[in-house]
Amino acid sequence: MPESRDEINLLIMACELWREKIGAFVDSELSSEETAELNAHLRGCNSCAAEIVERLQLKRVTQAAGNRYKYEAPLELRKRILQNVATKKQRFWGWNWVPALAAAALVLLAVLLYPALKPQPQAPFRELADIHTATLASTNPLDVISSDKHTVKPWYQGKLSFSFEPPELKNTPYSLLGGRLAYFQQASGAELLCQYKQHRISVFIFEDRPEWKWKPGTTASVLRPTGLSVESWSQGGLRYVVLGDAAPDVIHNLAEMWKEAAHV
Amino acid sequence: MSQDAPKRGEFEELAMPLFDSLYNFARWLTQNREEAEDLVQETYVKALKGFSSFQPGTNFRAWMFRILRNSFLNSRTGLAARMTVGIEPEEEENIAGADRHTPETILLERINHEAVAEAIEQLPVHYREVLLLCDVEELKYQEIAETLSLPVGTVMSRLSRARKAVRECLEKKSGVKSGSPPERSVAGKSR
Repeated sequence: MPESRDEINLLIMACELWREKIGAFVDSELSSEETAELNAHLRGCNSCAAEIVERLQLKRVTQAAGNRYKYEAPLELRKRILQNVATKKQRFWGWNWVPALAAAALVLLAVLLYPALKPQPQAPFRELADIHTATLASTNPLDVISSDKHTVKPWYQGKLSFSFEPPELKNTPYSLLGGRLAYFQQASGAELLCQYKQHRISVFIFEDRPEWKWKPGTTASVLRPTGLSVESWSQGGLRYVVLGDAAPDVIHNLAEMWKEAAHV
Repeated sequence: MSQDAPKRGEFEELAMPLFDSLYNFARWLTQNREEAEDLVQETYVKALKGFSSFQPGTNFRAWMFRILRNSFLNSRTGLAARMTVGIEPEEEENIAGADRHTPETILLERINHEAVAEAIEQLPVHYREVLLLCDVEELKYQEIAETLSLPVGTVMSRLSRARKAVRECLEKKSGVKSGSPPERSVAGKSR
């Protein structure tokens, strides 16, 4: 933490240099060395941290709004384009039209079913990863600061349309730091910040929606390219996402505690 | 059997998963449903035709977006959009300076998607395209540069200006004024 005027002046000069690179940081375009240096700078600079929070939020809302036409593409157009490709293909297969037709039908079926069958995108996780990063970069990350679940849980009363049961983390390697309201795809939910050693982990809870496409699987995995570990599940109509820079097994163990608490 | 058949199969495999993204991008460029449909169809026809010239190992996604974008620029709407580019000032300037803001804009989190969509719509097309390719399609700067045939530095400055314009539009809508640069604060010395 800077103490003298000289140290503060040095920090301000560093800010001027970093300001030019904050956009690249938000777009994950900085090298790992530069990212580490900027992270070190952010620990002592509220001004740059606030700017990053705002940039991440802008990127997130742009991404959400920018996808507005993505799944509106007319089925007719898709068919027409596919037909254009498939018809020409049949010509090359000549007399062997039966397997060609069958293959074309399969391809058509696959394309028609593609939106339903394609691998679940990581987009929702990336959005939550941005919220998590913004929370950590924020100077006032939490709305309620307490390690006591009996203080944190009641704070959400009247602020959310659902309730949840946090696990008791006392006498575990994890601790509760507090909570805040989080906004995700125009829904409000809870973000609870937990700590494991020096790692801070966000637990997001929202009312689950069928239109949300989540990556399947129950064990924690690494979210590329963020390097964060993530685990998500649906329980009692709520969607839980545990996310942080700790190892996948650390995330998984915390997720198990939340599942057990929600089950009781 | 012609060697073309496996090529076409490969094209289909690579190109069809991009359909939704290409349509989304086309809608944002043209801001018109019918024109977007025509543009996507034209893109696939041209891409299929030129697939034999596509270099395996290079970025197919960027290649498809480039075809779509070039087709758009040659369309009537695209030509009109191009005319407005000429009167814009040169973008190569201080990027950091273009991003000044007030901390109050953290209110962004609560701004609805419709307002953001309107702000994107109001951008000149050369800002809109770079913003969408970066934030929506998640292309890297280098890929965007290849798609738009621009230097990476220009991509970065356009991106910066596009974001600034979106932010200012949202600030106007939410009644937050963009004023002087934020007061610099140092951990432990303020707040």
